[in-house]
Amino acid sequence: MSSAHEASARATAVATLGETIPTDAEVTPLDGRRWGMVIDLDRCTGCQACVVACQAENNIAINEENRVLERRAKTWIRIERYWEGEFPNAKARFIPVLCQHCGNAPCETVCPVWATYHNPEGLNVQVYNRCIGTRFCANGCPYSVRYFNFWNPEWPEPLNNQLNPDVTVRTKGIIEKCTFCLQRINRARVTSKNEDREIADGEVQPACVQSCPTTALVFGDLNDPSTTASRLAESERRYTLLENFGTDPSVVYLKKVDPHVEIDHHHGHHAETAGKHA
Amino acid sequence: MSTLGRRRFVMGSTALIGGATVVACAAPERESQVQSFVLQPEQSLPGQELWFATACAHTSCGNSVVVRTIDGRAKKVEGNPAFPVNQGKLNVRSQSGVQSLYHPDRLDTPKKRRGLRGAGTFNNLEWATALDLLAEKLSDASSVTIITGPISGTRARIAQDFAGAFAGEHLVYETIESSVWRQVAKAGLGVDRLPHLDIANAHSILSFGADFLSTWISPTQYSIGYGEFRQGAGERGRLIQVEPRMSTTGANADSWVYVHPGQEGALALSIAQVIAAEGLTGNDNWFDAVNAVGGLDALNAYAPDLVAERTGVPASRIQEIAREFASHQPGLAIAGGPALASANGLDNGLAVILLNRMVGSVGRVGGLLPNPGPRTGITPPVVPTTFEALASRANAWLDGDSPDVAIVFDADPVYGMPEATRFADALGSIPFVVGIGTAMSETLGHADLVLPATHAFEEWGDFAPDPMPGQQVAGYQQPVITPFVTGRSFGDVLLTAWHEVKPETAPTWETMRDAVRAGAEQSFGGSGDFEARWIDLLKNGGAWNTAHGGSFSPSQDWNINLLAEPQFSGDEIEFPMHLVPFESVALGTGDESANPWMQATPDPITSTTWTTWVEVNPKTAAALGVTRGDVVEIRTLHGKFEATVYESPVSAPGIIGVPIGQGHRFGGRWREDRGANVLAALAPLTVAGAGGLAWAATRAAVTPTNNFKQLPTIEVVPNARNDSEEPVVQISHE
Repeated sequence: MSSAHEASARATAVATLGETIPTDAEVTPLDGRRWGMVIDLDRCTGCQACVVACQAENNIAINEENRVLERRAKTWIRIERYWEGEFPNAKARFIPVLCQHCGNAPCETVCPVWATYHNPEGLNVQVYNRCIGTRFCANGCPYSVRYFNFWNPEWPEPLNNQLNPDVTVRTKGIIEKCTFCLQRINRARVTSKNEDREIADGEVQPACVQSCPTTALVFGDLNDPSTTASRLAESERRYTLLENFGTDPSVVYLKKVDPHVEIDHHHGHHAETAGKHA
Repeated sequence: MSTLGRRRFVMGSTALIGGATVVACAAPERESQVQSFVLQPEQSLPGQELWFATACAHTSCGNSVVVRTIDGRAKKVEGNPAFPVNQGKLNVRSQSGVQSLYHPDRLDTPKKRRGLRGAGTFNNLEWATALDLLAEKLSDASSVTIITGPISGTRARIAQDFAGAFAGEHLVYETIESSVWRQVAKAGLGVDRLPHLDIANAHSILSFGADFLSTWISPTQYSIGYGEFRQGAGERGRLIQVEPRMSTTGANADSWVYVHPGQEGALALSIAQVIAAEGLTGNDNWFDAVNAVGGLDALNAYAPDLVAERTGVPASRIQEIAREFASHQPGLAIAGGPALASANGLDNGLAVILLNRMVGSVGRVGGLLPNPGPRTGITPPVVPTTFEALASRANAWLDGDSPDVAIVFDADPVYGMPEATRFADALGSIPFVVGIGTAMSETLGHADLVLPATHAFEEWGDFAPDPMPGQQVAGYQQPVITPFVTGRSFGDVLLTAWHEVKPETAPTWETMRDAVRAGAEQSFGGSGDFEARWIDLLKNGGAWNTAHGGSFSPSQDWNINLLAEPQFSGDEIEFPMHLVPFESVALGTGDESANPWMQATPDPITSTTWTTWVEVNPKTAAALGVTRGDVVEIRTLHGKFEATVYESPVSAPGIIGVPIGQGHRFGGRWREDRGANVLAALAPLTVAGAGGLAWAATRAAVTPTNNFKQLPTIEVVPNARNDSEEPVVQISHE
């Protein structure tokens, strides 16, 4: 989106919604926190514990079989699996994919009503009651991590008792996505404020991070060099997903380690020789 | 929510004052009760969360959980951060506890059969009437058999003592048995308990079929170790997985090696031969280990050139595996899954134990470590009844030698036993069958009286994790909410009936709570007031110490020359495919298939949900004239079923993988009439010397049906590849 177009869109939004619309300077965290996640692909086993933890924490609608068949299943975090090679030298590679909370998020600039914006702590936030369901953001997201509610979610009674009262149940016609468990961040913020201290490293754990049996997922403030997440994000194995798109994700991946794969160090490619060397 | 660290958890729990009275007061008694803001239940404030430590299931899942409750409702299940087994982590299935708790099709009233057995038609009863009927049948019974899932602690003690008092027996049913691995530990290590696998400190793991990252034995415990094994403080561990069908663990291996079904033992011996011949181990005692099981001459019969064709693994590959395993020590060799589910499974397992011996991994850090027994006063896990023993009972029952009453709890043998055993008919020959559970199952569908059980989050209990994490651990279970339905716990039903029918032999305690507390006092009592210690036990979810215990006393009964060739049901011509069933990460062996979260959880390998599929090599599929989505009939000597084809590039030609867990007639809207039950079609072959079901020893024929079913997969692009030019999953050497 051009700056002129952006200014026009902002003017329209301000006229509609008032001066609550943040400016670019406000949405770009300069010296505050930047919440982020580091995912070590060498620890991840694809076990799906994070997927179910997220469903449980965030009141995600039941993905009935028809929803899966229609490609309308909602999984704020999903494990993608990619094949390499052929039998008997075949391998499966797993990667958890969730909202990358991009610093330059393509989804934010296309929303006509500023339902999605960047908050001062680096979160890509979806404001449900602003969303009018254009789905521009879902189309703009290269990671396919924004989910549209084609139906109102249903939890046959008494299954609704499991719903987390901290998380809004999304209705038909709006977009939803990973929030980095914003409700947990807010709770930690309140607790630390009441106790007159800063939020400690590791104090906030999104549900996926908390459940992960292999500790493949680590969450923290990427702007604080003392946090575990920040230190891991500086690993030589770091990379970001679809880096060439320039989205500046807040999710950093650590490369899968495979001592048997030939790496082209000049181009960063690896040959499909997986498994040929025992 | 912020992180639930131990400190925060303990603080929260402390605020509760703890224990039974708190729990009972925290929850509203009935769904419709209106809470007054002026007159609050003790400790309960609207919107304020309370955390309770408890167990994740009735049976011995071994994990302790903390459950977040708000306004008397359970909202979220997380791992107990202080508990040594799962250390705050939790696998897929344990997290779905709130769905079985609030399941709309949960049993909420006793039922008496009115139609034929297995028809699933019942009349509702009042609890008092149901208990009177149970007491009447027990009064008239000359023997009572109790069938449960794997249990330990007070629940096990009551079941065993009750069976003893009623001149019967307690059978423990496991769908996918641990019995062969137990027998391997007994025959190879001389211990009655499952060993601790020190994965975290190993530098290499050579796994023969054990899907320890997903479903095998104690996957949460093992996955925690795996994280350290890969990227902990020490050297990055190497994982080599050997199996006929790629499991989730295989998908994570540095080297995945295909082996013909049942030949894992031969391959293990061949690797051992290379280690010996090339002098690859620094363990000075390797020669003694080989001598103890037949000597070098016997081992040399398994030189790579001699077994390459038999195992399907090229000789050069066998040598590479041996070198990689031996050069990264300490190393751990384990056997599970199909390796132990062949007719020669026990031999395969003992061959793998030899590998551990040769590299010195028996009893050392980074290898196999002995587990201590449970604390005095806590009943150890009941050794599961083998398939062979249960099938033998079924035959006896069919022959008229049956108990008068059977009480089944948390076990579904009608679903899990192959149809060839006629287990449903055998159960039908018992005059009166009582089923206790939270939801209908195939077995409860054959019961005369069905009693709704309390959920694991609504009842008292204790447990000894099996296996323990190398240290002595006791877990405690408490109700986290007031029972949501008018259920009664298995223990309470038995105690009530026992006191009613045979008060002279009944224990002094009349409720599970009293029994669990009395057991805890026996174990942790000592001098002084026990109440404070009791509350601590509940608050922490148990008690543990850091002392390792036990020791191995290796047996030398097994000999290399005893390694048998695998046997299979069905000839190669009529049944050209090897059928390899596998436990689903989400559905387990079907026990969690009623929960929609679990049905919708993608299988890690295929990303399939909600149905039964069959993994087929693409070339095999082409030869069969089928492709993804085609429905095929899979026929064995003992049954047939239908499944939808998933062409998998990691599947071996000649092998078909089918997930366990679907194909139920009972259990609610999300489970019934969905997919197929592969277990029903298996041959009733046993593992020689161990008695387990050889569930990987059935051959099958695959026939197209000309029907098509779109596979409900999460993967949008079928069989997407990790492009070598722009890989999504980037790879590093180190």
